[in-house]
Amino acid sequence: MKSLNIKIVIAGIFGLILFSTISCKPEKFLDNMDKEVLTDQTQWASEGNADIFLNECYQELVIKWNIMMTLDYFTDDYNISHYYTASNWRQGICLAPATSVTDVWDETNGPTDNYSWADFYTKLRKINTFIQKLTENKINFSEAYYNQRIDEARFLRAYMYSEIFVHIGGLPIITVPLDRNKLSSEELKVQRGTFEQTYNFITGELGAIVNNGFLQIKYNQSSPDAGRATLGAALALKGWMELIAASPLFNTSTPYLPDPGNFVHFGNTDQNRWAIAAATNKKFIDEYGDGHPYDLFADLPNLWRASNEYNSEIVWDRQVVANVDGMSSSYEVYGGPTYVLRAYRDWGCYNPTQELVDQFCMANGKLISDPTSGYNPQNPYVNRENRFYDFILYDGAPYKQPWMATTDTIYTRIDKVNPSLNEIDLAGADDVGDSGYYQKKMLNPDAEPGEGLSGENYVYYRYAEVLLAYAEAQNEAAGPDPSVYDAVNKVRTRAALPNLPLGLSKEDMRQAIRRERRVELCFESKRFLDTKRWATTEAVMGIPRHNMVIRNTVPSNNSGSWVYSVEEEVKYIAKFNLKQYMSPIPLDVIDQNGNVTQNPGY
Amino acid sequence: MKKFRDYYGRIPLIFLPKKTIRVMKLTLFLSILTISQLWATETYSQMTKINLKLENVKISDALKEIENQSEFFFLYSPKLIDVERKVNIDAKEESIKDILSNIFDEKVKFVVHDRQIILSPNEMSEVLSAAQQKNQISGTVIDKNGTPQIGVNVVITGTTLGTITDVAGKYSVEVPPGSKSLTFTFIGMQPQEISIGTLTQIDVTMVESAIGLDEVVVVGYGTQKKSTLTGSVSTTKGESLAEVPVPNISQAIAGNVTGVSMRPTSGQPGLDNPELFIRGVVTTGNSAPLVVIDGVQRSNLQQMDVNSIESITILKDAAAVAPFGIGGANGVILITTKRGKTGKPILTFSSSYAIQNPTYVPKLLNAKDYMALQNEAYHNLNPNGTAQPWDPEMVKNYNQLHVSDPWRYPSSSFVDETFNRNVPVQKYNFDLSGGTESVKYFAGLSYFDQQGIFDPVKYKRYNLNINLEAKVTNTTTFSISLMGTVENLKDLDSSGGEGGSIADGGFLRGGYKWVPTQPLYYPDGVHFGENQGYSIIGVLKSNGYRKSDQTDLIASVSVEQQLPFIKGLSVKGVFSYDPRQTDNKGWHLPIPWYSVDLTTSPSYTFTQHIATNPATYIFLQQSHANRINYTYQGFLNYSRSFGRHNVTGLLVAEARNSESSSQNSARNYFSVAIDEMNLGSSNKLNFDNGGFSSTSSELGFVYRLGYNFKERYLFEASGRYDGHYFFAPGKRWGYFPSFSAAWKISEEGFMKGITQINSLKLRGSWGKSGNLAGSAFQYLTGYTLRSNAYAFGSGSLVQSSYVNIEANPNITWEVGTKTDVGLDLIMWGNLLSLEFDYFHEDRNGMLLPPQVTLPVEYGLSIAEENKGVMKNNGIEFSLGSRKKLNNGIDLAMNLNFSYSRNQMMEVFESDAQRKNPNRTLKGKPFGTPFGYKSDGLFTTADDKNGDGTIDLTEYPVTQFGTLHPGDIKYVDLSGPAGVPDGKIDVNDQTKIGYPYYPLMTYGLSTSMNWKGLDISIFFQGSAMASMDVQQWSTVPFANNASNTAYEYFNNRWTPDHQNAKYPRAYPAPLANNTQTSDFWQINTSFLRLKTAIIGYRLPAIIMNKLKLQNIRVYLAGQNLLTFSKLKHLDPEASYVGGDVGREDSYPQMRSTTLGIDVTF
Repeated sequence: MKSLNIKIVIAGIFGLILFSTISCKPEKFLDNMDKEVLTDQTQWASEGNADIFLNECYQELVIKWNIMMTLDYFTDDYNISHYYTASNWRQGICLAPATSVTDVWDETNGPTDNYSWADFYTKLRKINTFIQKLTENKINFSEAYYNQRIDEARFLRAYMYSEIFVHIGGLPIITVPLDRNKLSSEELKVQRGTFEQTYNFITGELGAIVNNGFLQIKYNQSSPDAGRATLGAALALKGWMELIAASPLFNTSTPYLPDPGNFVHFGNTDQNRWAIAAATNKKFIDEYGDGHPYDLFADLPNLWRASNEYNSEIVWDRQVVANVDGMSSSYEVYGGPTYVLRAYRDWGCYNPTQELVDQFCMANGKLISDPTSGYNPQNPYVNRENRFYDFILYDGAPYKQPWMATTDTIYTRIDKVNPSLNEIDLAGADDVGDSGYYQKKMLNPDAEPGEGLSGENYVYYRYAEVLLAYAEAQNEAAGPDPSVYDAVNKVRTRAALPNLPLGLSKEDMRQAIRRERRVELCFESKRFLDTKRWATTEAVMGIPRHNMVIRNTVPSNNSGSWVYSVEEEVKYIAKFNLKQYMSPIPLDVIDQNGNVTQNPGY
Repeated sequence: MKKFRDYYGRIPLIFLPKKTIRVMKLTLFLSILTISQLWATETYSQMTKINLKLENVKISDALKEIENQSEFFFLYSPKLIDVERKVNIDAKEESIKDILSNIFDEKVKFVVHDRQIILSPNEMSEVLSAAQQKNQISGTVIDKNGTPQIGVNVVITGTTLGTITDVAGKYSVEVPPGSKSLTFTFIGMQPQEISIGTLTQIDVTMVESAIGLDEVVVVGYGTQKKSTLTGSVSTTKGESLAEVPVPNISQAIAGNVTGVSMRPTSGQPGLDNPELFIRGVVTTGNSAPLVVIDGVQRSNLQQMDVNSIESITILKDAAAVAPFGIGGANGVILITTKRGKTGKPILTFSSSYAIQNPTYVPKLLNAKDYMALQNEAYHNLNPNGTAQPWDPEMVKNYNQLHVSDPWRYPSSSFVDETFNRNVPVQKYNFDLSGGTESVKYFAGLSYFDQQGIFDPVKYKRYNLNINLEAKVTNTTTFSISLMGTVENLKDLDSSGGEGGSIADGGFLRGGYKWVPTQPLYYPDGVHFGENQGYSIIGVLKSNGYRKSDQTDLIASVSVEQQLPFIKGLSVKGVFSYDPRQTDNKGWHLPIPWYSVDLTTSPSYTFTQHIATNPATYIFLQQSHANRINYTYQGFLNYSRSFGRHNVTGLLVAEARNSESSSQNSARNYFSVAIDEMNLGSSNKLNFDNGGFSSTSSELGFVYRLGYNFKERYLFEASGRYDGHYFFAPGKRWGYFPSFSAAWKISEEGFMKGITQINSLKLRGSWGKSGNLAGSAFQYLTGYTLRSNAYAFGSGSLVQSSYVNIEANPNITWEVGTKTDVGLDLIMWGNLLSLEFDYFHEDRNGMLLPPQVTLPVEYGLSIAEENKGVMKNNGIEFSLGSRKKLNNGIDLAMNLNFSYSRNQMMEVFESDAQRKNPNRTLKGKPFGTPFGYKSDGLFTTADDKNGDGTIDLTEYPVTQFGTLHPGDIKYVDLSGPAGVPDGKIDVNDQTKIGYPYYPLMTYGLSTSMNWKGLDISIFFQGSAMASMDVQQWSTVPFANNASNTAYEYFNNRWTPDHQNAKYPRAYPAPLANNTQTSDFWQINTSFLRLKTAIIGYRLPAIIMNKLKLQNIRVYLAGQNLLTFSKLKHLDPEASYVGGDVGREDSYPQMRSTTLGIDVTF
């Protein structure tokens, strides 16, 4: 009988286990927490918590150092190898991409500047969510905090809009997060705003921010808030948008291709737009410029250096920190001489064209095309202006950055006796530069080329651009008055160039300003937008660019003379179709929102 | 013997009621519960207590009285034993031995044999024994391989008398006079009855039952007799997998078991777990089958040591998978590990040594051909250009130049200079098993070591398995099983860029793109060079590494109790605890390379540089992850026969939960190159760390009710009520029922006469099961945190938060509704066996991202919705044949075939897709590739005006850029208006091939056994799958002047080779020729000699001398032959990373294995 008792006890235990399994509160057992997320309540409970969300909006700013195919890849300032897909665009091949998440590497869809349609609207939703939630939870925040953060977010939104506006034109304007539970499927399909509506939205927001005055004008490096949006940034962006809008491609009733919906042009010509642009840039110069607190930074080649972050010239920049995933820059891996001190150092992506090099003056301020300039095409690299030596590496250029142990000399000539590793690669067959030149400007002098090794902030706008924007707008609006000369000469003076000669015609001044912009702002992703708005892209991209080929007349022993020969870039046939003035809208965008109209020509 | 099977089928193995044991008819013994006759004898004599009070009676009368009271009977000769003597007996609860000892003096000896007691005079015992030997029969029982069979029941036919064989397969049984024959029975074997006649030795070779008629099959939450199954399952034995020389059992399952197909991921040691599909792919979401090890859901398939596996069962139809509820829709793989068997301890040792070589390696261009191709590409672009990259004269003579001055004219070959050949794989395994009636044990220890084609790449695995099963009382069984695995995986240093590890494809990519005009090693064989700032040899020689160490334990305790108060009822409780710990460590050292100055003399000078790619500084990354799974199961099991009505019932309550956590840390800039975290930079900006934790839980209630009438008409209903934490309250619970029936036609009276048919069964099932796709918490809104998101001030990093996804409060699992009709047939003994199934599944509520239903401007990912519908149809069959010839040759053959084709019926599509019949996904299999339809290459003849370009007058369709002869020609199928529009764009896209996974899989295995010698050959094949082969080996200079393969070089278009396989050479991928199109789709159908094995079992004579039970040596080959349309790539090449990763993944391997198995 004893064994039976044991059995009953054991059976009882089993019954208990079974019973307890079944009868434990099943719903409670199935409750698990997702501990990695904040709830709606905690996220907006305090200023500190809300800031965490705004940080994400800042995080969405693009580190343009890491866009290897920068906008300048689509200009006549660089020559590029076949390998880079931008070469398709330069051959006139540009198609609407199938999906909105594609980037510039996707073969045929032109410059994106890392703003794909999908990316942009993801960024936008974050900002709209911040504004909406901050407003809903206003009670949790101080007035000052609320006002400042709302304007920061509005600035970020306007900035993001401006970045894709310049590529696409009119955009669906969305200022609150779309909610599919409240809107019908038709209401969700926001239609594309016209060029003017989108422009008005962006400049209206920026104008309001400036008028509110809740933001600081500028931060210094010592400020823990340095990096946040400022009044300076808002006003400079407004001035830039107005300059774009006043420019011939858009400020017209005759677009480059038929545009019945007015998505890529205003639909009328209004010279007053130049005056508006001039006034805004003038306001910047008057109220924030000339050292209050913005001014030109004296040491131009070191303007981007990490130790000079937030210097007086920086208006709006993206924070970059070396060696932090997602925060660091690899720019030095892309640009600069391919071989330094005989060691392979970078991909040699950035090869300035002869066209750009020819824009640098002689030190005496004269253009090389001026017969009195002293320019010798067979000794082209002497007595050029300072910016040439600061920005460009040419055949025979000494090269010494702080990270380098000794000085190197960069040779791109074709030398059969002592071949240089950096010898011009006319076939576009490898990483060595294709044009005879390398870029020096903006490379971090302190960082050895390497993945993520650089921590220089990326500068979106600097004061020199405000000066040149003012000069351009004012010249167009009122002609070359003294304030135009002042603004341009300020930039030239820093470059140790003499002032522009007095008495220039409006057209001469226009050309002088354009040249000054091209040189001063080269490689800063401005040229692409400049030729676009001036409607000159067809003229510069529809024809071949040129390289500097240097050969010895007696190549077998170099006993002859070195001949500098400017030769056409023949790697591919240059072509520009008018539709390329604006980028295509991805096909899935139109598939999913029939209210979005494709850009002309695609 | 029918009776034997009847009884056996009615009672689930594990629930023998106590009374059965007491009655103890030997014929009822089941091998796993075999109770030895000897034990029973002893027990009877020991257990039987006798009360006897006799005064002054003759011994003979006393013995009679004992015979009356008990089952004992006495054998003695009155002539020899004095039984007339009178004795007094007063025994209370005494054993027979004690009583007899008291009765007899030392002159009489008694021997107890079972219930028979032999009395003999002490001096005469020898004689008597001799006399008894006449009725003693002994012998050995072996199987077809000559392996001794342990635990075979040997019974005197028609009686309860008998014994079982020992570990050597030997038995010895006393046979009462008049016995006619002996019956040998063993589970899974055909019973044999042998006439005794005058034999004193009977040796028997057991033959397996006809395709496992009596086989017991592990099914969900229990076991069933195969012959009474109503569902569709297929099984394989661990032994048959153990012979296949693959590191990973998943690789052995596909093609070997009907209905399973696979897609390899990588050949890399430790990372070679293929994707498995059961009955194809039926969902756009997670298509992985559920893995259940020893009754508990576990993901340890990759870690299993094949020697520890007893059997693998694949559950396929609704009837089979319904008990797994949410988890069952993609099919279930049930793995049962080995248990001990009653008998003396058996120690086996097995070891194998294999050498591996890649099945395919790319044949890369040498320097000369590379340069020639670059010049050709240049001239294709600039017909009149003069700046070709290489001097044609030099190229022409390059091979001679290279020989005369390899310093100035290098020609490197990545594969030849870096790949290790004949890479060893070693395997050692010890198993110990055995047991008594009350305790059985199995313990296994194994070690697996696989080296890589590069020295730092290796994988080691240690497995420990212990299973203990104890019968605590006659009705209580307690068992513990433990499986421990330690894995060490080592890979090259990982640092992103081209310098990545092998696992992420970076390293091999870097090697394949290596420009052959750059030296890997300089001719001095010591120093090594670079290509685009990256050094292959530098990485291989680096002491940096990425390694992963994982420790897994799966532990279960179960107690089973038969309940005495209801006949046939038992309960069981199982608790399992499965912890896993993973440690990863990544150590990066700067990669050096050397430049050489060829102007110095007498010797050249080298300068060391640090590669710019990957990182130029030292860093260490470490992470630790912890995960514990708990499973609790309670079973209620019922099984009983009422006459011809057999009823079974099962109820299971199962709860599972898990806890996970992980931490990671990193430091940069080590001044001393020692891989310890503390030695890194102390600047806080060079620190990083992170971590998270989470929990999960699920609950399920399973039932299965079975009824059959005379095992002829079989019915079963099963199902599960399941709840899962992935979903919102109210959306968590689902019910998945199934019903099935079978008719064993061969049991019908009218079939009795048809002796050719041994068994014929018709099966059908219908039911629902679920698929847990997607991810947890898609029903919840929340803000996900991101660390190091931005920086303010002087670089102070801050974190951020964002909404990852818009919640869907209604999200729940997918439901598959499965129908299956099957037929099982066995004819002419084993000569023909067939299992055939037709199946259909409707998958509803398939989880899909609904992004396409919203404008892109919505700006937020949407949680998945249960909106997709897919259907799947297919057939599968396995055809077997086995014949033992008179000369002893045993032949077997098995062909299995599976075909399943899915069709997407409802998926989210944009209007443009939906409206274009070519692009719509509806009706097409999941994963169907879409692209342009090509019409070959433009030829020189197409250029009618001879200007070198194909313009619109020559082909009136706008393609991509300027076209030339040698470029791909596309067909203008359609346009925005649905008619051809003279423009190739998205409207022209159409289906261009099959999905990447095969729709058809088949396997053919044949084997032959003859006296110790065994040969088996296994062919495997698949069809109806395709692959986009557009990659660097078919496209020249695909990645910035990178090298290409002779596959392209020898098959490229040139004016002299118009009908070419690949387009003309171009210095970089050309937009027109790199579009996704059918031009690049290759059918990957293949037939492959997957394994071939020849083994030899040493004869018994030698074994006896060696005092060993058994030795078998074998030679096995894997992937020996491949027949495929694809010539330059393994048709089973990894698909991880899609088209991009495939060619850069670790190659699939061919291996040759020499192995030995020893049983002590």
